[in-house]
Amino acid sequence: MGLGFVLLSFCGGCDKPDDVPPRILTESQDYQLPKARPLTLEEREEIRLLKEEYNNAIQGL
Amino acid sequence: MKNLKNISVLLMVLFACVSCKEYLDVKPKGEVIPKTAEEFAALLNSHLSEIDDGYDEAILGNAMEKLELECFSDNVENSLTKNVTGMGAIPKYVGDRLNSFKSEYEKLYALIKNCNLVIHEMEETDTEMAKACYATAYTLRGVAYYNLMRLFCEPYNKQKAGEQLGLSIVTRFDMEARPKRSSLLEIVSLIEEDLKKGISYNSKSEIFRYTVDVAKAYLARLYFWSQNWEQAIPVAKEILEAYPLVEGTEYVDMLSAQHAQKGNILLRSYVLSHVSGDQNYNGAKGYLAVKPVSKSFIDLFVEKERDVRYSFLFNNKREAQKVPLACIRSAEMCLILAESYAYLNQTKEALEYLNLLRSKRISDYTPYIMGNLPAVDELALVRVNAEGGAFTPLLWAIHCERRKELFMEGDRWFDLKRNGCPEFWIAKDGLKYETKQFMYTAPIPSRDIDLIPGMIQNEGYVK
Repeated sequence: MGLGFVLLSFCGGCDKPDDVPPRILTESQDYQLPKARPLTLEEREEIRLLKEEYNNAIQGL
Repeated sequence: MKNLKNISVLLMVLFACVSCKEYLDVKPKGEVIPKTAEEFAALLNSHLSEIDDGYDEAILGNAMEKLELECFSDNVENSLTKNVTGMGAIPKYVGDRLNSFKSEYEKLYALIKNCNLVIHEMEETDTEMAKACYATAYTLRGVAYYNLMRLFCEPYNKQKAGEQLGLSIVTRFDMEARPKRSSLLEIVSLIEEDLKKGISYNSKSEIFRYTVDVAKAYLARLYFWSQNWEQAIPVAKEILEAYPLVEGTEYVDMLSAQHAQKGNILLRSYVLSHVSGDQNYNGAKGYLAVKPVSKSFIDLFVEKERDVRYSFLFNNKREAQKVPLACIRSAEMCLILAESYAYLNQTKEALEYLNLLRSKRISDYTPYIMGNLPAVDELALVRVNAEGGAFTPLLWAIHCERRKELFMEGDRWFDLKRNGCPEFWIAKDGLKYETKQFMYTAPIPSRDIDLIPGMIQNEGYVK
């Protein structure tokens, strides 16, 4: 019985003394941001005018 | 049988005595525990070399990081972004980046940890190397907290700074410490104290990059950010006098140099060629044509070709030409002086510094006097000044000059933050993406919120 205990201790003993204990990681989640939403008609028109102005400005260059 | 029992007991005792009892101890692998000043310097040099090689993202920044900051602002027209391969690399608005600011958070706290080690564990004190180490450690810690403050704290409000949320203050190396957030006022005091300690060593060692003059420039930036106009003036003035403004081709050369630190630049990144720095530089340069410069920015140049910046900053296709640059230079000090004097109602001095900068950029320029200042643009994105009031024509002229001068240096985003955090939107693929007021302040990484009891998240962020 004694011998068995010794063998158990030997086999079950620590074999990697330099091991780092497992790090406890918390669940890291991203924060929610306001969702993008479809442009309204007025906003689409605003973007259209912006593009038009830009295209006119660089036209022929 | 008795013998066997005795041998077993003896063996058990032997195992108990010789077995490892420190298996949970963390042992450093392949690392030298620093003892000499030179070894402590290595802790700082690893951060400094990232700056020199052009891939530091958190301390001084790099070309790609500055380009990203410009993309968050109204300096470029994000709604007119051209679709090109690899577009995922640059954000369409700040929302694309807010969650990943945790990378800057971790890097800056890693820098703070190393500064704390130098400040408290280094025993060598009298050698030149030790003094330079202390100077750099204090200055870098101040810079790290300054950068964290601008990213993760609300804009400074003089009346509420004592109640506004600051950051976790860690001034000693302690694995177990879990400090909650201080007030914004306490953070400002800590940064001031650190920068002043750094300055007290009077370090002129260029190897350590963060010399006494760089520390003073950061101190001027800190006073400016915290609306301490009276104190910002003498420090900014000292730096401006030591590094006079340059003009004409010297100005263009200074800002066009890929590696050289020229003109009145006190500190810049990417002074050496390195594969990661090259990637950032070439990437930023390549992406310039993807987002046109905004019309509101171009319209600021009323003198057109007479202003050296008009042809240097962008071409007639509205493509930015100036490669984003991470640096500190004295033009910023000149603008700090002008604005600080303006808030103190010392209009003569404010005009003097505004005109000084304009005289170096615009040929045949007409000096501003109170009577010929342009009117405040009532339709502009920015409506309130840093103190929450309405812009006067003088403050407006300084604000516009700052926007022009520091284009592609990552300043505009923080200037919007400082001046009322205005909300605006951009369109992409038929969708509207809004930059809300709370998005000017990045979220504290969720790991810190989860790990530190009582840690408060910035307003507006939910998981």
